[in-house]
Amino acid sequence: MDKSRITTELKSHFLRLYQMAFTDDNFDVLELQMLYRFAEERGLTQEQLNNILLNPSQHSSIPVELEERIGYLYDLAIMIWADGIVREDEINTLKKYCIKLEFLDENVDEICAFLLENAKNNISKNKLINLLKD
Amino acid sequence: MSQLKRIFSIKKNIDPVVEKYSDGDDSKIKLTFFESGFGSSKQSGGNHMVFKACLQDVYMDYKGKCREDARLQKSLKEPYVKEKGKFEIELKKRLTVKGIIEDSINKLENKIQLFKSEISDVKHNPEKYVEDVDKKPKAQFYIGLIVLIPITFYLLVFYISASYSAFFKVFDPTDHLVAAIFDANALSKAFDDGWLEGVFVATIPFAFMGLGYLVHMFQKNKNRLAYLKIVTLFVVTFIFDSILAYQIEKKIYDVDRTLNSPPYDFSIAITSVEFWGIIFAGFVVYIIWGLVFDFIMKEYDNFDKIKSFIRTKRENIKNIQLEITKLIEKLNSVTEQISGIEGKINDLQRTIDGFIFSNKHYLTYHAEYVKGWFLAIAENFDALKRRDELLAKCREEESKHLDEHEIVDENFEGKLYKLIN
Repeated sequence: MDKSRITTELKSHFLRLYQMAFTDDNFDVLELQMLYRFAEERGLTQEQLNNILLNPSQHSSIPVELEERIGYLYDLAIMIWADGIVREDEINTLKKYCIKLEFLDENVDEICAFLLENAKNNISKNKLINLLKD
Repeated sequence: MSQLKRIFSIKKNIDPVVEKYSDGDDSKIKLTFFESGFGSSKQSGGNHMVFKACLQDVYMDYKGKCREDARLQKSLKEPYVKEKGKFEIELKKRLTVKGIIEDSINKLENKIQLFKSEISDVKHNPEKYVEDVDKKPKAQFYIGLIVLIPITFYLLVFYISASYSAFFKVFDPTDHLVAAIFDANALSKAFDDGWLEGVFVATIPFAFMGLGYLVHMFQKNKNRLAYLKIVTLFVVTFIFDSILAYQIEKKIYDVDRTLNSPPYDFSIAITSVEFWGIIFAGFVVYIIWGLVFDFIMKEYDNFDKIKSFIRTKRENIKNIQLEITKLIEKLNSVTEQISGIEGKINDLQRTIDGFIFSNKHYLTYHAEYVKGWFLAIAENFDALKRRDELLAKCREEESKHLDEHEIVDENFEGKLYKLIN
């Protein structure tokens, strides 16, 4: 697994997303367990993860700016690709986060396909955001 | 709008209309209560017993209204709903932790099972787990040992006798040829000659065995230097054996020698049968001893490897069991937390399912009613004493009423809510 792609920023973004998942009824306990293992395999320490699990919920708001929201989703897509394969449950999680971040339900499939495709091709986040501006 | 921009559009933010309970109608209701109090007081002449009944009536009336007022109930229950939401998040977290811990325990238990099956399997299929290992190390080891022990005795006997014959024995022409090489009483004769001589012949075989042991040790490092050392050892042993054979053969020759015989030399030695007989009986058997020794040492290593494999696995199992115990402790505490949180959620749910009586609201209306009642008394009774008496009695009834229903005027609105099932 290529862990070098998982930067600190990516990790912190993931932790925020993970935090959000607990406040969302769409994420069930099994999925949250899956995400824990997912993160563990990608170099997040148990301490970082337990920090979320064992402490009372801090307020984790949804990012406001559109670019920031896309950035969060894209970081997750990069993490999904870190082991070189994309599993069905990982795509489902990504879709749920699209809905959580208030993207339109009918576009969710397209968004996921777009983000995963770019993550696969190692496109940088800045380049991706620029693509959107064009 | 470009295609990309289109797919990344965000839901329109529809702010939910927050239906806040407004106090708009309050003043109207207050007035009704005031009038009702005033009227009833006037009718009953401010009687404190009637006042008591009226207060109870007002209370029941308000309670009914409060229960039916969905908007009011919603706004009163909001903090409880929020609190329940928080606990539900906590519950979800704890359940996730529980699942993760259970999963880890399962994995560790599977590991223990695997180790246990490996331990029982390693004896049958050692090559699967341990490198360079034979299938039946034990049997081969014992067979090797059975061969090695007699050869060891043979070597002891041969070298004791040969070295005695070579170094100390005085040959007698009457001796039989074999007896000349092999002396059945070599050790006792040597000790008879002196204890140093005895020790010398008794210990010389160990020098040969030492050489055999060195060959085995050098073989462990498979490099050129080690092979060179092994060859040197064999050559040295061979030379030593040859010296013994030469020496014995010389003594035999000297005994049998006639005047015409040429002086004993190397060419005579290597053409004699005894010379080669001695070398083969010694050196070749010595090589066989070395090979068998080497072989059984290897077999011993093998089953030592299997033993250490089993030992390591057992230690691993022990460590895993410790880990499991720790995890179970954690699991127990998490389970405890879960049931605590579930209890709290149930409690809050009961509050939400029930209805909330707002003391604060009630007190406003209650105060209006009492104000109306008292005002009527003040208007109706001019006699100061009678008036004060009535007011005092009514005030007493009022505080009794409030106590009875546990209504306390506090500043903290949150505390003023209470659950009535």
